[in-house]
Amino acid sequence: MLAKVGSCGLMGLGGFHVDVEVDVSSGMPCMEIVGLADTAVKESRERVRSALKNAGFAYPASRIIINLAPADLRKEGPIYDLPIAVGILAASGQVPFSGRRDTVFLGELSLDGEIRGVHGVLPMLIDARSRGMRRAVVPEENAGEAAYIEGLQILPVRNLSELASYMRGEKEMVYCQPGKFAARRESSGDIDFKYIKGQDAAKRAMEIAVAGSHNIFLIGPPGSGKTMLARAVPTIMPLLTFAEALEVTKVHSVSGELRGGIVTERPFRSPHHTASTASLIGGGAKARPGEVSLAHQGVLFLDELPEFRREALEALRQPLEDGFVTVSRVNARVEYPARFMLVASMNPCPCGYYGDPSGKCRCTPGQIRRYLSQRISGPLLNRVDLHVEVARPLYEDLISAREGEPSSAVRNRVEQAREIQRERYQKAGILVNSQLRGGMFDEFCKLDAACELLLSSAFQSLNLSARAYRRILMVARTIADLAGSGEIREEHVAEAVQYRSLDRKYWGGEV
Amino acid sequence: MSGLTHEEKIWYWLASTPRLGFKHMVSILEMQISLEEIFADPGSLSMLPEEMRETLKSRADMGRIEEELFSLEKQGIHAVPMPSGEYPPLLREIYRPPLILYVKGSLLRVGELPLGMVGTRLASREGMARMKQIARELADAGVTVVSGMARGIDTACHKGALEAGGVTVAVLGCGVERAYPSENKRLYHAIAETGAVISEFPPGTPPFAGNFPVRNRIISGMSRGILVGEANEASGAHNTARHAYEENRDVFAVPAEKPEQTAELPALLMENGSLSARSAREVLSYYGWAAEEPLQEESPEPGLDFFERELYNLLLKGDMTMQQLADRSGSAAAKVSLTLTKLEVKGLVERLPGNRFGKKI
Repeated sequence: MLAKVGSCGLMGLGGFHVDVEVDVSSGMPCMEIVGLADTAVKESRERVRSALKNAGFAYPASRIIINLAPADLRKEGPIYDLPIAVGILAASGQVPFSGRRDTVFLGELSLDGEIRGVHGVLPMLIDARSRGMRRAVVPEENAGEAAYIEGLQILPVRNLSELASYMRGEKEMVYCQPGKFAARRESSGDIDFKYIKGQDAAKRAMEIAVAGSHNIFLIGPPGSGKTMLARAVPTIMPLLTFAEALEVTKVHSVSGELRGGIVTERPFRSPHHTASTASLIGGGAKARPGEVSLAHQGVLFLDELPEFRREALEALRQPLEDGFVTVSRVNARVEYPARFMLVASMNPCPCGYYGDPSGKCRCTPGQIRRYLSQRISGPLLNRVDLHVEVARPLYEDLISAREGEPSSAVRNRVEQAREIQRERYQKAGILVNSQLRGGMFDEFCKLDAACELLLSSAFQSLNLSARAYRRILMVARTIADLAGSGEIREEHVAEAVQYRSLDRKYWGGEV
Repeated sequence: MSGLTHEEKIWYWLASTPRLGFKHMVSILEMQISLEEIFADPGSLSMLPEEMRETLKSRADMGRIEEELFSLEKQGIHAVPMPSGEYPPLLREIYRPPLILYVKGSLLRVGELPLGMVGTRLASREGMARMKQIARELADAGVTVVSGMARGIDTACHKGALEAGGVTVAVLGCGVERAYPSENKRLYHAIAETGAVISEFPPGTPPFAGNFPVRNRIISGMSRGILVGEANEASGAHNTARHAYEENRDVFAVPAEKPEQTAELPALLMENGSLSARSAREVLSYYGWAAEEPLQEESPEPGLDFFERELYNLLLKGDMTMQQLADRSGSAAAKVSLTLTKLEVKGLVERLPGNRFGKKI
């Protein structure tokens, strides 16, 4: 007897349809799985056999051939346990099976018949829906993420017995309620801008960075609060939209990072500097998404940037330029999105105390000049729009009872600025100022004569490098947006100029 | 082609021999035979060690000497042996003068009153500003400023002299073919243009630590006096001062004005009876030179708006971080940032490491 059960496969962030064909026939008892199945799939055999037996079903002593079609695409992971079990039950007549072609089954089996969650459910089901599927039987664990797909009925199941009762009609099928998306912000009470003492300039720079989604470098000695500032960034970021949340959830689902349902707040990823290139960018044997993709629509915080491997930093160029990464597999190339805001912290010199009033720095001017320029390549610098130096707070700042502005106030301004950008770029295909490229500068960042004059004087007196020009324009545009100004004015340019510390040619001392 | 006379070339041939020093030269000259004869028969110099005589023999060819001099010229360097008219007259009088100097630029530009100016490499901004101002005024009056082109005080003095359009001489502790320290490359070229960069060490000599005390004697040796700015007791400046004392040159201590400045050495010198000078004018009047009208402190641009002036006034009191400026003026960081840019562009304020700002000096 032959049974055909619908299921899904995962390739990068996309899914494809898989038909699990189960043929139970007479012959030497065995179970073979074919169809380019990987090791985890081949192990299904043991899990399915034990699960069926322990859940009280009969395991047919027949020749069981399982084909995962199409036979030319790799099948991976334990997700076919459930459809295989269903197929065997159906083919051996133990459970009635309607054979509806619009239903897919996914799930891993425990040896006792419990159904466990799997990775990548959301992207697989999004694809399934687009192919005309109407129903999905998924592990209860994954019901949360699956419930947001319009037009797809989700039946969560806990174990084989429950599923059998549904199929025999003994129990009424209770589908999931469609998910209601509500973006949240992590309410970590002790992280808020108002608790960061002093550092007004750095806080202002963060506000600008988030408003225009600009990448930012924080430069300062140990103990200056760079990490604290970075961790406060999520508190001033605008809420995720539903579309953004779906994108983020897809990536997190594929990498197995989802806890429960859909992602509701912006990711904040801070990998340690010993991270490998593959873990940062993506790749490895299973072409998993890397930190840059897990930070998609959120923040990637690289603490102690100069300590990261040079190879890893070089690999950041593609995502920073294109907003996605391409990861190679044996027979295909997979693309993962990676549009994030980069926040990186670093010391100004090898000992870390250059510019600190304690006078502790014992580095020579040559060492200072070389420290950052050797570790941060030109192309990387080209993609970072703001540099801000952070000094150690003075004692009087720390004991001051005066609270600064709360994050919520900053966030309001940020959201307004984002709204302005959304409107402005409706037809241009971008969302934020940091995405400006090429000809768009002329259109959206026009400078009047006074601004041009100021900018050229600044270039002269401050000895800025050429790359600073475009960065300053973009940042000035964001500053103008925060001020609610349609035109870029002198004061916006003047402020933007202050955020190019590393571009001043004589960083580290006169030449 | 090299402007050296035949005799001067022979002198070069002798002086450029490794390890051939002043004492050797004195013995050679005491032999009372002509340089021409020595050149013809270097073997006759029995007071010299065997290897030196061999080296001399191998180079005893005028064609070869001229080639060496020519390749120096291609690098912009010319040799100034002691007999040359370009050799600083005051330098001849010291205990062990260098037999030969390698020069970029020209020592003929040195005026009547060369004065050395020395101090620490780790000087405060105010200390450097003061010495720079003194150097500027001295150079403006026609003094030739002699220093070592080291970081800190030396650099400030050379710059002051150049700003006044005057002549300055840099004496290096390494070969003159390169700027040391390397971040003074631009300064090095500027000095060679209107003054001179010199060294007794042949081109290619690295800046060994031991070279510096030795070159200090040239700074004081070619000057009529030296000015000592911020420095510690154990310092190159002290070493230079000692040379000056030994050669009977004038030593002016420039005392510190503020407690943060390193006042050790000038104070010590004054305790031991050295002269002191707080300004260029005092130094000039000591030598009977009339000082120019003291250069007016440039008053700030009248075109400063209210907030620009407020920040500028705050910075006149001392360097501050952006945070301090924001707190003291009661303004938001954004406003402070943009105003600082305007002040920087106007040349009134400069940015210092660690997000600090100060009045431009």
